[in-house]
Parts: sequence; C-alpha cells; structure tokens
Amino acid sequence: MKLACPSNVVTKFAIMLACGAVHAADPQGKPGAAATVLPPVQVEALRDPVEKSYRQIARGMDLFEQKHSLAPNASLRFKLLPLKRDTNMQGIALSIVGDTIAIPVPVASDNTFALERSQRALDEDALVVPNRRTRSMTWRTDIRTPGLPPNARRLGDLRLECIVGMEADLISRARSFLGQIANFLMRMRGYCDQSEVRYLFFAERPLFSVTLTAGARREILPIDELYAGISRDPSMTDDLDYCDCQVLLDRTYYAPLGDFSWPDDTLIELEYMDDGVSPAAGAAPAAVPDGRSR
Amino acid sequence: MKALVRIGVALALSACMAGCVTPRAPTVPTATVTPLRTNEIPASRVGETVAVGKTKADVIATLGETLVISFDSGFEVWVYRLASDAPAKAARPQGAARTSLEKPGPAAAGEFVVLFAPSGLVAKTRIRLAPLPKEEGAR
Repeated sequence: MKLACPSNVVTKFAIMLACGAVHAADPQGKPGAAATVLPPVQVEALRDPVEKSYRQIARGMDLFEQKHSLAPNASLRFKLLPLKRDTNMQGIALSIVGDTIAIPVPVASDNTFALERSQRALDEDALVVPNRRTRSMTWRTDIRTPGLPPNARRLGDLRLECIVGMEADLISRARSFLGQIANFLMRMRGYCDQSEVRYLFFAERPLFSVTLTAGARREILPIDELYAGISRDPSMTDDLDYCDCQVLLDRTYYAPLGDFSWPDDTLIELEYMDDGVSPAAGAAPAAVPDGRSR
Repeated sequence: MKALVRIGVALALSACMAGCVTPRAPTVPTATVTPLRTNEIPASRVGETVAVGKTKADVIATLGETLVISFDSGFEVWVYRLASDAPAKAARPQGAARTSLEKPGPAAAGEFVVLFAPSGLVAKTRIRLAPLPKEEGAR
C-alpha cells in the first residue's frame, strides 16, 4: 500500500483510533442525536441504532457515478445483512434522519434499497437509520448488471461494489482496536485495486464453489478465497465476533478484484451447497474431473 | 524514527482505551475448523474413489483425515491438497508468472473438496487443478 506522507498518516491514524475508542465508549451513538426534535414523521426510535452517515454514503454515490463504466448497465442499490443470528430481517424500516428532516426509504423484500439525493440531508449531516440496534446488521452495496443468470455475478459489478462500499464506509465491524485499524486501512483510496483485496462478498445461500469465466479461460477460486479465508487461517474462528461475516460465513467469498487479467465482463458463477442436494439424503450426481461438480 | 515512536504511542494508547471500553459479547461460532492440516493426495486418486453417497468413514479410509470446516448448518467441507505432480504444474513453463488465484503455499496446489450434507453423506465433490499461467496479452 502506498503511503505518500507518513507523518500525515500517523496523525490521521492516531485521531481515528482515539475517536474510535471514544465512540465505543458512548453507548448512545452520535452525540446530540437524542436531543434532536423531529417533525411528526413516523420513525421508530431505538436507543442504539445501526446507523450510517448520509454524507459518507453520498460520497460513495458520487464515486459510483465517476466509476460507472465498470458496470455501465447497473444501478446502485444498498443491502442490509444480518450481523447476529437473532436479527429480524423482516419488515425493516429505514429513514434518512437529520435535524429537521426524516425521509422514509423504501426497503425491498430482499432488503435492498436506493437512496435519494437530498441537499438538506447533506447540510444537516443526516444519518441513515434502520429500526434495528447497533451491531445487529451490516451493509453492502448491491450493483447488478441486469440479465445475468441468477447464480452469476459480473466482476466489474463487484469491483464497483468494493470501491463504492469502502468509500461509503458500509462495513460494520465491531468497535475493536483491530477492527478500527482494518477499517482505516481498507478505506484508503485504491484499496480495491490491490492484488489481494480482502473485501467480502456475500452470496444468496451457502457456497460450495465459485468459478470465474472469461472467454475460454476458466478457473475455480481456491478454497482459501471462500468462507472468509478460514481454511488458510483456522484461528480466525476465534475472531468472528469482529467480522461482519460472523453469521454468513458460509456465503462469503473474495473476488480477484485487483487482477486485471480478468476483464470486467468476467462471469462469476456461484454454486451453492444445496444445489441439487437433498439435505436428508445428500444425494447428487458424482463429480466430473473437469473441475466442476454436478 | 520519530514517526515510529508516534505510531507506537498511538497504538499503545488506543489499545488501552479501546480495550477498556469495547464490549465483546462472545457468540457461538458459525463454523469450526479441525486443527488438522490439509492432507496431500495424488491427483489420480480423487476422481473415482469418492462418490456421492459415501460416508465420512469411507472417505477417511480412502483419502485419510484432513482439514474439515464444519458449519452450523450441518454441512461440512473437507479439503485435500493435490500432490504437486498434477498435470497442470507439469505443463507450466519454467519461470512463468503465477495468476492471482495461484498464491504460494497450499492454495498454489490443486485441491479436492468434498461436501458432506447434514446427513453425513457425500453430497458433492470438486477438483481444482493448479491454474495455468496468465495468457499473453491480458490486460
């Protein structure tokens, strides 16, 4: 990672860490939020909601426009994902909440949503607030080129998801010391272009295999690129509390975002554990030695 | 040197502050991994020897014990590493660059992965041969 000005980085690093620690000490979340008087709009109040900065997300939206060529036919949505086993992911209500505004945000049944542009929300440093408690959910961008098979993603879409997601500061790690360091390092511009990007993607269901296809070139991702790399570092099971993948570990994978020998149109085929499998009998056709299972 | 000292002080101070106030409610892990390393097996043995419907005992008898990832869903993933005499490696020219998916260490080798359904029977298998080098003219 390129660090142009070490002393600057040191200062930012110290400020970030100190702020992170102080923030962690404040169970109420953003100071002053409780004193805000809202107009009569239905917002389900929570003592400690899982919230994001509208300004920060807007910066991600700006970057999406700048980098749209990575996924020219896709639109930008965001997605909420469970961080805890007992998180209720049904009927989530979401709002952009500022000092004088509260804009309801429709959430689709798959827990994706789009955010509208609002100058007032920017001026008031509004928050995007779901009616769920902190550390109950995490967030991701959801950028999908239309027309792909249901079990496939496109690498350019994932590249853009990473770039926008990092800029929008969507990852919800526990407020640990290591989590703060990881967030700081990952949010540096250019992170998603590096040779080994540790940005987790979530499939719809538990994964068995991920295959990249670009023209005649076809490769299966190594097992170390699935399940948040747990096969490479089994000790990470002890640190799952600090990963926003902790209850979705079997759906996670890393993509070779920074390997530009794979073009943006590379198709990423996801094979799920339960594809063609009866859980009771475990019955499925046998494997074939061309690298694919059936 | 000054910068290093400042980093050290910042880290120590922050570790102290964060460690004192960060609540950590332990959760039940959603996956466990056996302490075993991935077992290395000859590539020629995997295709026919592990069929869908086999039991865990069958697989151990055939290929031996290996690294197992157990998910709380009941599915288990068993990972074997293919011995380095796999055909893909033999085909690689000397000094050829590796691809991003081909990192040094176990991931660089091929692998054989077995999925056990919650029933305890083999549900799927897959073989990943070590990839060939990047094609000429790639972006």
